[in-house]
Amino acid sequence: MGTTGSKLEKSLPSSFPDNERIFGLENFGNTCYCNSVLQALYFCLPFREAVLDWARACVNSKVRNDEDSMLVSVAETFLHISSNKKKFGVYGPKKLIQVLRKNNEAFRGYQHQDAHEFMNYLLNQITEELHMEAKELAPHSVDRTPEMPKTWVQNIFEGTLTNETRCLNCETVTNRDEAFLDLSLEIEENSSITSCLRNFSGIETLNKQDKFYCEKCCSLQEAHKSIRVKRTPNILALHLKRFKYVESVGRLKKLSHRVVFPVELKLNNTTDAAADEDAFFNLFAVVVHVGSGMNHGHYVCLIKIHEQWFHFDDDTVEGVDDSHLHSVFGSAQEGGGNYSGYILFYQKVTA
Amino acid sequence: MPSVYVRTLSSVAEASKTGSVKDLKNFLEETQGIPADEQRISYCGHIFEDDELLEELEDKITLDMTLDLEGGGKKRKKKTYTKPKKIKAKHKKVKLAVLKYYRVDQSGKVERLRNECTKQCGAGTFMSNHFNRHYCGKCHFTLMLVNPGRDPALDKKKDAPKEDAAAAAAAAAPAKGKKKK
Repeated sequence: MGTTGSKLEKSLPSSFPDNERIFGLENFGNTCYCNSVLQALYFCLPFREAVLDWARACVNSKVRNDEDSMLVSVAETFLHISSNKKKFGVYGPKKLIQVLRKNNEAFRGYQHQDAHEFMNYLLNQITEELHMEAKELAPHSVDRTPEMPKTWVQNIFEGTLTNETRCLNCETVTNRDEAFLDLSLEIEENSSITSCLRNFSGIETLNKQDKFYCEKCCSLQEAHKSIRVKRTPNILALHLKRFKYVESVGRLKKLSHRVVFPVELKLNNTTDAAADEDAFFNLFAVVVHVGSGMNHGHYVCLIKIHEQWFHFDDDTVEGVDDSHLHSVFGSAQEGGGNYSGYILFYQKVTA
Repeated sequence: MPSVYVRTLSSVAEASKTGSVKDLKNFLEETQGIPADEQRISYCGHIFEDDELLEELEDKITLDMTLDLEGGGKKRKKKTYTKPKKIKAKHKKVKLAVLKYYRVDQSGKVERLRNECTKQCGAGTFMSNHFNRHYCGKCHFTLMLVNPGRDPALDKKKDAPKEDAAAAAAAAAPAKGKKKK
């Protein structure tokens, strides 16, 4: 990999900081779904910092050194990369894969997997481990609190959606808040993330047999329902539902639809009361699914590191032009490489 | 009636909040056609197991349903080798090889022609003679000769009379056996 390193080095802008490490990740038999998500999370700076901070605190206090902990193995992976003497290289997250396979049946074996499922699992597992740790540290605090305190995973990824239901009879608005770690969006051919978000928050009419029970009218009424973002997360992860069920053949199909996404995203579906209405989001990573089918393919990841885009493909990393992003929008034509952006990571920038 | 909402691939479906997650998946299979096994139901990052019960959820909660877009490996590039393949040495059977290890002189004194392993095996384990090295077949220890050339031992054994060698083997074999024990 020495040649890759020097090639990479040349492609770096002179402003590239000396302390940034760029490591490819080895593929241990169909584990690129894991590699691409790990890379995106590593270069998700708030997440990386939180993991490394946790690891440092752990070394100092020796709270626990659990062999089966996902968090420990993620921390080890991140530490190995961030504290490496070399600027470039390849790391084999072997232990992480072992722990993953041990902990979760779904990821055992060498089948292809869904990157979004892996990310969900990883973040959830880390949250649970943090909760357990908090319990161990303070065993005498109020036991069985219904609401666990928020961990740094939530602080980074969690936002709040609100379901607004407006009764068409009395105009009363009922709100329901729900938390999210990422948004799964339905997509349409030749559309954009902005229009997907608009559809996501589109007004739905509840009528006929789907009428809404209005507390004020004390009866079933027609109503308008919409979902909007009430609190935006620090890191906004958008997951594109790139699949559909073709009834005629009774089969699932991958949608290679062209869905464009901006580098700078402004959310158009926040509630009027949202605190940071003017916030916009900067794209920093895209997990890309390569392949035409639902059941097999390859995952790669595009990541922006200090204003330069990189293409992470397991153990190979290359610097790419900004325009490379356009190639992962997806394509209206069948075939055509089938590089399609699957999970988008945006970081909030507050003005 | 308590219910849950599910954001599916095309719409938001309402389902009754009874039974297990598996029941919900079956319901969605009936109404939307998507096979239950393929569905993944989640809320705020938590992926539900089939046996989790819906009644534990809040009323009117909105769940997400997605499918798996699977990916794993890329096709491996075929490795190109620059050096030609090494030809492995094939073992040649030498009959009664043990005869070459000892020499017995006129007085019946046995002389051992091979070095004994100097690393760990010690007495009783001989190292083979090669043109530039001694090698212990038991512990794989290799001793390189400082000035490679014909080993005198190799030359000597050529002159050794055959009967003597046979006698040596007869004499040495029991001795060797004893040592090992």
